[in-house]
Amino acid sequence: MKTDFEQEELPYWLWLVSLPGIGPVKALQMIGFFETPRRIWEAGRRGLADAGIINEDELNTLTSVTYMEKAYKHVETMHKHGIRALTVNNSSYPFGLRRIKAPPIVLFIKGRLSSGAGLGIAVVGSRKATDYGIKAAGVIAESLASAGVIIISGLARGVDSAAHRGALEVGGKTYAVMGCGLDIVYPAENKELYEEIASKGAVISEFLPGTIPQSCNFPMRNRIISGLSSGVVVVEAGRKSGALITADHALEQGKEVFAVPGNIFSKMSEGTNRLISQGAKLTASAADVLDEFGMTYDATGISVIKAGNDREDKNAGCGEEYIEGGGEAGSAAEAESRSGLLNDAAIRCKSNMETDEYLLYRFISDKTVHLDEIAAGCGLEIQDAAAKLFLMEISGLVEQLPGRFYKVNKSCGCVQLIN
Amino acid sequence: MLSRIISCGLHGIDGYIVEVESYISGGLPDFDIVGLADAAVRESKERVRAAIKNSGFEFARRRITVNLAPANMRKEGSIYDLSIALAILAATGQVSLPATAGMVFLGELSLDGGIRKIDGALSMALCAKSTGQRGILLPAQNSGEAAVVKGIDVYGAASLIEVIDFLNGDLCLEPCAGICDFDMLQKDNDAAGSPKPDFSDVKGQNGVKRALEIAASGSHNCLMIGPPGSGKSMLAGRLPGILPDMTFEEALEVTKIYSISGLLPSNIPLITQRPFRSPHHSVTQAGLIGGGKYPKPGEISLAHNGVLFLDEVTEYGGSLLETLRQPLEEGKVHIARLNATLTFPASVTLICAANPCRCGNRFEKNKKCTCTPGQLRDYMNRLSGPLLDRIDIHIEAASVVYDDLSGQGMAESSAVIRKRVNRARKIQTLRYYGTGIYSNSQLTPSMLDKYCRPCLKGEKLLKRAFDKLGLSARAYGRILKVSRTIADMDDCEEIQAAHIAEAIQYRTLDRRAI
Repeated sequence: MKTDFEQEELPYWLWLVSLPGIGPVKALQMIGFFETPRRIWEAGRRGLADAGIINEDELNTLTSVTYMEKAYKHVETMHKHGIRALTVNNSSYPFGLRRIKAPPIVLFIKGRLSSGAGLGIAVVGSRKATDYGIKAAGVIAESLASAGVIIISGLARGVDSAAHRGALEVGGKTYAVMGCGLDIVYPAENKELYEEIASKGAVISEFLPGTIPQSCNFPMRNRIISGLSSGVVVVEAGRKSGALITADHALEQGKEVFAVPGNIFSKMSEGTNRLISQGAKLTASAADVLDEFGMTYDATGISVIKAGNDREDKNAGCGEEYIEGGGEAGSAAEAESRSGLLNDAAIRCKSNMETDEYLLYRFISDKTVHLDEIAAGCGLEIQDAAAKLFLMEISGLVEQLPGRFYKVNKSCGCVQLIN
Repeated sequence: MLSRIISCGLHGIDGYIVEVESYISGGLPDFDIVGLADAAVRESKERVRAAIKNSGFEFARRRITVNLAPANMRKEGSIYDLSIALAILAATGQVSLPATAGMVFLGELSLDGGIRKIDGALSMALCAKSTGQRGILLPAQNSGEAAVVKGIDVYGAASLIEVIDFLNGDLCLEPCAGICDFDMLQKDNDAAGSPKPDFSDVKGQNGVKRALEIAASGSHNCLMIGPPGSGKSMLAGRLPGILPDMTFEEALEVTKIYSISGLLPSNIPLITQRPFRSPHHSVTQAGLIGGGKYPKPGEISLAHNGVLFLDEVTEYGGSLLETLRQPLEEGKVHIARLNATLTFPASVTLICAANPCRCGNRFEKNKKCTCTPGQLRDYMNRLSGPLLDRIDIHIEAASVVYDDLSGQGMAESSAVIRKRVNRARKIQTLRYYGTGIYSNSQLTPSMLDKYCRPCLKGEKLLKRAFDKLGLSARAYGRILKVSRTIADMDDCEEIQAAHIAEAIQYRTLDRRAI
């Protein structure tokens, strides 16, 4: 069933945003004058001309019937795909977004926007991210999400997807802002992720259903990402990455910009490193982000963190990730089990790690090493080394990279223990 | 004026008895061959006429009708020349007809009366034996091959005169001695063949070598992914040296296929080494799985009981790779043609090699991969899911580091590895005796429970690995089969956790990708 609003008003809103040559700024001016799009339509040629906002060309577009007919079709498509519309005059329209220079007149939404004033942080970065970027995005998004922060990103490949996945992993909330109509999934391989975000968070777009992902849409989409969030974390960005556009928007809109530092030789970290030199906050963990907002955790959050700290002392330190993992506000029980797991690993590192495993671990230390080299270096048969490394991978001690390279899993927090 | 000589034809890789009847009657001199004979058979008229005359016999100037029975099967090739000549000579009383009873005659005639080599002698000798014939007479070059069949007298002849003298009792031909000892022959063949490239030539790449050893031990299909120059083709080329020995039955099957394809060298009566075929990626569908007007075995059948190596597997046409799916599953190829449906055996170990991406630098430590995510996806998508389903081992090869190349350390030789492979294969042969399979790769889902039960620790590990690495369900059976082989190589009846751990390492493509 369609609501009254959908029947009566929505077509006029869709008509207004579908007009070529009429952007959000002009549309807002007109709404300011006529109050609702319906009245704009009803004003007719005469009324519009009198308002003195638009020129002759635009007048022709505004009075053409074709666009109005299409608008009714859009309502049907939205209904079919379960897409809701949030108009700029609606009270649940995100407050932060309404304040930006050219807020979208209509937001198309699949899923649910959180009504409270929860902190939203955008985690964005390159589509061609390296393993480092993927990992950093995942870890930071995970920790932020478990502290109750909403993770906002663009569903693109690479960093964006990793950020969304990180948030979903810990049961957190995440919004994906798309550069195309919501009836299209772009990139197509993220279909499952798209569905999951739509069911647990929200997928958002300012584009009418059926809009294809044209490259010019994405910079526009980026202003919504930054508009929805209180700060933007740029994880990995090349020199000309679109993530830098998001950072620019954030600055214009007066939002905080965070950047994850990277290797100076890595092309994918050129943009982020430059952001830092320009004054963006160096971000090595979620705590760096939360700090900036003087983040006052609610009662549960603090207690969980304290518990985590205690345990950390007992076990001679389990690393930072672990505390943040424990900082989940929503489900303390889950946080408990999570930290328990890491504790396990930590204890194993200390006392139960087999001699061979310890040997392998020391051999890899901070390098990225190929399996053959590890086996030769540790004097093990290739099959024994492979089996041992796999067991270590399962316990989270090491990580396997494509091409049978291995490296120590830093985020496990056992590094300090060994050294 | 009527005579009947027995000969043999080929249907797929099996022979069937063909009766060559000849009837000579009065009337205008004429020579007709009936019984669905193709062009090569019809042309035999001229060869037969010339051969008979040039051997000093008389070619009847009467009306000659030759019928090839069964008349509803298509006959092709030149193998009936000899029997047609004998049928005509017998009908004119120049050859003793009773002497030909119970004998199968095969051979192509040359114009001067010599007998030329034919294809498929082994299949036809087997057919002669199974239909209870007394003996088989065929070109001298084919006699060694046919003599592999025991329980039937095999005579080799070089010319038509020899055959006629033999039948008329003027010449005494001794039956060919078959091979007495299969193992001896195997050793002789090993020694006689040109020296094979050895595994010790490849420096480094111990991980890949290990994976290939597992593939050889359990006959597992294997996909090698690595940058150019990492030695994929070099390693695959050395695989024949470590493949396990063939049994006599396997050797017979392989020889039959090579024999009907005309690829059997005349000095080797029986192929005792597992075949290794590596068709170029421009191969056609008919070339790969078999086909043609008179269907011939394709590369996959020529690799039967051995290895089919597809280098640069992503370059093969998509539909070409898909045609491999059914043969890989069944171990047989069915080729349907208008006049018949043939089945060729095609039980192969498939070894594929591919670059990790379009630019080839994906696993390189010091080079940058320039592929976009879209290109990467498209590249890997060239291998379809169903095909990957049939591959047990994924192995990623990295570039060889300089230290390995220049290192003085001697790598293991093929002979040493092969000994281990043979031992592991023997365990499997004994275990699966009477179940209709002979290697771990052939285990059916229902057999997994019986033969691939991991120990408690292994089971737990497997479960954890699935949760942690997001392995797909299809990986489950593959991991168990490969771990079964690894356990066999360790001479372990129960699959241990370490075996499972290693096996999971060979499922890299199943891991959840971001």
